[in-house]
Order: sequence, then C-alpha cells, then structure tokens
Amino acid sequence: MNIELTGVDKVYRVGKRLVHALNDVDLVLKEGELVSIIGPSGSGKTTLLNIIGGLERPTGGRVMVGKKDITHLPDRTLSSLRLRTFGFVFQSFFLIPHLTAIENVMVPMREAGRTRSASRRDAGTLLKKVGIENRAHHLPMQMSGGEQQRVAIARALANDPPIILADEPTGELDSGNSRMIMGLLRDLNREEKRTVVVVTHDPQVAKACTRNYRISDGTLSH
Amino acid sequence: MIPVKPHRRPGRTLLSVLSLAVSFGMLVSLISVSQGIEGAAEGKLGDQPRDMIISSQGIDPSIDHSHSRSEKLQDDGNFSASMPVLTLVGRLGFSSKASLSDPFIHPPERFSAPGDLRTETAGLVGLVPGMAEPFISEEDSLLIRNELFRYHDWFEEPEDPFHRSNYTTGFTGSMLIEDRMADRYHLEKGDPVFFIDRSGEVSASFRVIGTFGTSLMGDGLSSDLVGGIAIVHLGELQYLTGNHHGDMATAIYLDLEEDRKDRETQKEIAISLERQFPGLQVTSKEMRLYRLEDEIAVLSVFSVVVGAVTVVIGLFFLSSIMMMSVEERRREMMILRAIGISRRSIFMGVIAEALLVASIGSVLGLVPGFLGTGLLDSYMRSFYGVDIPFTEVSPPTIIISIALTLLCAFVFSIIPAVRAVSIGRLRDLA
Repeated sequence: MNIELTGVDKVYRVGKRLVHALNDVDLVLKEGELVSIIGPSGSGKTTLLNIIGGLERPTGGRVMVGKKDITHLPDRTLSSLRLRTFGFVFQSFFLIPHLTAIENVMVPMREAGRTRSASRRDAGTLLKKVGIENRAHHLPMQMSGGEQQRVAIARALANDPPIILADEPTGELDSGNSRMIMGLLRDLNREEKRTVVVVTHDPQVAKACTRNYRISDGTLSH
Repeated sequence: MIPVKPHRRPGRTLLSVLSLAVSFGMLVSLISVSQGIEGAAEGKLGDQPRDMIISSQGIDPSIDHSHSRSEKLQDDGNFSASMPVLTLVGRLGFSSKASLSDPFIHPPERFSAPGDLRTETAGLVGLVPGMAEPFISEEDSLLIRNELFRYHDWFEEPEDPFHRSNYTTGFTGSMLIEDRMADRYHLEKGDPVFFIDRSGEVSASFRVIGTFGTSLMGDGLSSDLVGGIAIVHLGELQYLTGNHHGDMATAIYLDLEEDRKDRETQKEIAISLERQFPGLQVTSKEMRLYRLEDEIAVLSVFSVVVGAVTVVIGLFFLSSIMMMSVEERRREMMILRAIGISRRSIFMGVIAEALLVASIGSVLGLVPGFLGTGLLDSYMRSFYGVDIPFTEVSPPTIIISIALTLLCAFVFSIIPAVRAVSIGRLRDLA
C-alpha cells in the first residue's frame, strides 16, 4: 500500500496570524519502506505525519493511501482508517493511564470488533513480541519510558496495520532504549514488510532508516 | 465501546456512588412513608362498615332523639346497623387515694373530693355498646370522627339502661380509658375516674373497666387540646353534659345493607336522609374516602417530589463529577480518537460509566433506604403512641425507582458524553 501526497498545504490560524505549516508538499512512500522525515522543531514534520495518518486534513492538495483518496473522507471513515490501516507511536507514549499494558493493547482490538478473550490472547502475544510480557498487568506509571514505548508499539500493531507512523518515538528515551525501539521498528519493517514512517530530529535515528527526507519551514526535500 | 473501569479512579467513583446511594436511600424512605400513610388511611376507612354518617355541622350535638331515630333507621330496610354517638370535650379527675366501690352521679354528701385530685381535659365519647358492636372490625377497632380506637376490653352492659329509665336509674359508670391516660395516672381496672362539671365540682364517678389505644391521623378527638379520650354509655354522658334533654347526639353512624351499596342507591338514600335530618350533614364512605384520598395525595406527592428532588441532586452531582472527569481525561479522549476509536464508542463509554455508577449507587442506596424506613416507622409509632405501620416498601416501587434513577443517570450523562467526543483537536495531541 503506497502513500502519495500531492501538493499538500496546511495553514493554521493562530489568533489573527496565519501559520503555513506545510507548503506544496509532494511525497511518495512505497510499500515496505522504512522512511525518516527529519527536521528541527517547528518545521512541520509532525503536521506532515498527522496528515498522512488522517489525524488532520490538508488545507490544499491530495493524500492517497493505497488507491483511496483520504483527503476529504468523513471523520468516521478516517477513524476506521486509523484503527485498521495505521499504527501510531507517539513521542510521549500516550498510553491510557488507568489501563494496564495488556488492556491498552486490547483497546483497538475491541474497537475492531474482536472478542475479549481473543483480544486478550493476541495482546499477550504482541507484548511478548516486543519483549514486555512480564509487565502485561502493570499500569503505565509502574513502567519505565522504554517499557511504555514498547507497549505503545504493541498497541500500534493491535490490528495488524500495514503502515506504522512514529512521531519522535525515541524523543523521551535514553540512548539504550532508543536503540532498542528503533531496532523494533526496523524488525517490523524488514521481517513483516510493514511501511514505517519515522519523524525525528535525531540524525542517529534517521541513519537507521533506508530513505530520508528533510523538512524545513514546511518545505520537504529529499 | 471504550473500557469502563471506574474502580481505577476510586476516589471520584466512591464520591459519586455515595452521593447517589444517599439520595436514592432518601427517595426510598420518603416513598415508603407516602405509601404507608396512604395504606394506613385507606385501611382505616376501608375496613370500617360505616357507609354513611349523619352528623352535626359544627361541634355541638344537633341530633335529637338519637336513640329512637337510630333504632328506626335500622328498621327501614336500608341499613344493617346504626349507632348514635356523642362526642364532647370535658374534664376528668384522677386520684391515687380514692377508692370507691360503686360509681355515682352527683357527689353524695359523704363524698369529698380527695386532696390529690388531678384534673385533665379529655375527649369524651358516648355510645350504646350493643349498637356499636356491628361497627367494630375484626381487629377490634372502631373509627369515630377520624380517630381509630383499638379496643383491649369492651363494655359488659350492651344496652343503655340509664337512658332507658329516662335518666333516673341504671347508671353503670363503666368507662373505657385511653392507654396513655391510663399509663399517666397508673389506672387499673376498677379504679375510679371522676367527672368534673362546668362549675368545677365532681358530679359523677366512673369505674375503669378497660383500655384502648388510638391511631394518629385523627383530627377529631385526639389532639394537643386533650390529654386523652374516655368512652362511656351514651345516656350517662348525655345526662352529665346536659344533653339528655332531647336525647342529643353528635352523629349517627350507619352501615348499609349489601344490596344498597351501589352508587346510585347510596345517592338516593343520602338525599332521603338529608330530608329526614334537615340542617345536618350526611356523608358517605365514598365521599370521605375521596376527601381523604385528596388529602393524602398531597402528602404522597410531596413525599415523592422531595424524594425525586434528592435523586436529581445526586444525579447533578454525578453529572458534575463526570464533566470534571471528562475534562481531566482530555488527553485520554484525544489519544483514543488518534488510535482510531470512534466518537460513538467514546460516547457510549461515558454513558456506560454513568449507568454503572448509578446502578451501584441505587443498589447500595437500598441499605440506607430500608434503614431510614425502619427508623421513620419506629419514630412515628413512638411519637404518636400507636402500633400501626407508617411505612410500606413494595418490590414494584423499588424496581420502578431504580429504573427511573438509571433513566435519569442516562439523561444526566449525555452532556459529559457529548463533551467527551468533541474534546480538543487531534493535532493538539502532539
């Protein structure tokens, strides 16, 4: 499933001021690629990732995911897309604080219509895959940053999405955990042929990817 | 639907559950009082074979020839029983030292009032025991002027010999006295009670032959104005109060024959009685039930409204807590939206949490509800000094109350649920 952006603009209004977060962005991500989008803070990289993942709508241009134009899809359809096509990994992990690790992973599975028992079984498998099965019944506040990010990755894989979108996945981790998380993402790409898009400001993270884009002041370059 | 785990936020959940439990408990208690009073009132009237009453418009006795007219009414085919009654307020005297073997009328020369004589205003009822007996229910209770008398003992002489002798001989001096008065003056069977006339003199004595209890809900004889009630033969009370001239009574109670109880016939009989007894009031059981139902409806509605208001207050509290919870969980809602959870699932999750808390609160509220009901019942029995149930809790009422509480919880949780699904912009998540 390819991802294609054509002439994508994004303009925000902040008070009376207009902010041009993205300017005429063209991007083609082929299926199975491990891509990084690197840029400083405020460059528009997170906005770009959000538009790819249907979290935001572009002000102009077109976004294709596979053969589907998602630019103007209704909110309900975008939700379904985020549930089944994309897996999100965020910088701050964004786990639900009052749910255990396994319950966090089960949330998207249950939303997709799977039974509680099947969800619990598969969530356990995913936690084992990311090496954190021993923390399955712990709350996020009982886990380290690296552990939480692994749970977040397991959650991102809950409905077996073909595309993983990671926004600064190592931003709040130390170097050791960063390497571990990038290793996981790389394995998802190489062994499971998932498309992985990583947004980062860290050149070391970008090095781990097969293709890199640079973004600055809303303008993308290869 | 998003997972509902209120137990993971124990403080807030406990607050909500407790507030609902207290509110719901109050609702159950108040409804039980409403139902109990309604049941007691209707039961009080419902069991009494007093289909019609002819009574004075005011408090003074206005029915003359009461004995003969009552007997005549019994013979006319419409009524199976009739009972003349005289009700007055008078004064009685009590002494611990007096010991008289026979009751008397007018102080005999040898009698002087004992030094420790204590007098008290009392409600006095005069009736003919034999004529009153058909009106006594199986539970040994008799309703007179909205006062329910529960008899422990009864008169030995069924007739009214003093009246029959034209108020010359046959004075029995038999008196039934109310429990609380008997307790207050330590009266036992055989003890004397003195009648104090208007000039303050002891003009007669009676002998206690038994006691009775009274119910509340009386606006007739039992009130703050009298210290208790005493019942004597009609002729004896008429003589002592000067009502023997004309054989005066305050009311005649009538029990209709079975085949005369339909509404149309009752109406005709009532009209006929109004002609026979001009200037007097003729009321039927149906009319009295109607008036009583009107009065207790007000009390019932008041109880239910107060109970409902407390539940609404509890639900407002729940709704506010849920709103606060939704605001605090902004990020959580945004995360859920980001990972693909639909607005519908989030909406249903908030509603489900409210319903769960309301269910737990309602069920837990049954405990204070039943406790409160028991306490209210004990208090009211003790306050009014009667042993009748003042509260009634029925299973359908509980089920309906729980169902209504859940429905209200659903309604009150809609705003927090709408807020949850419209919270924030997903791009703000990053």
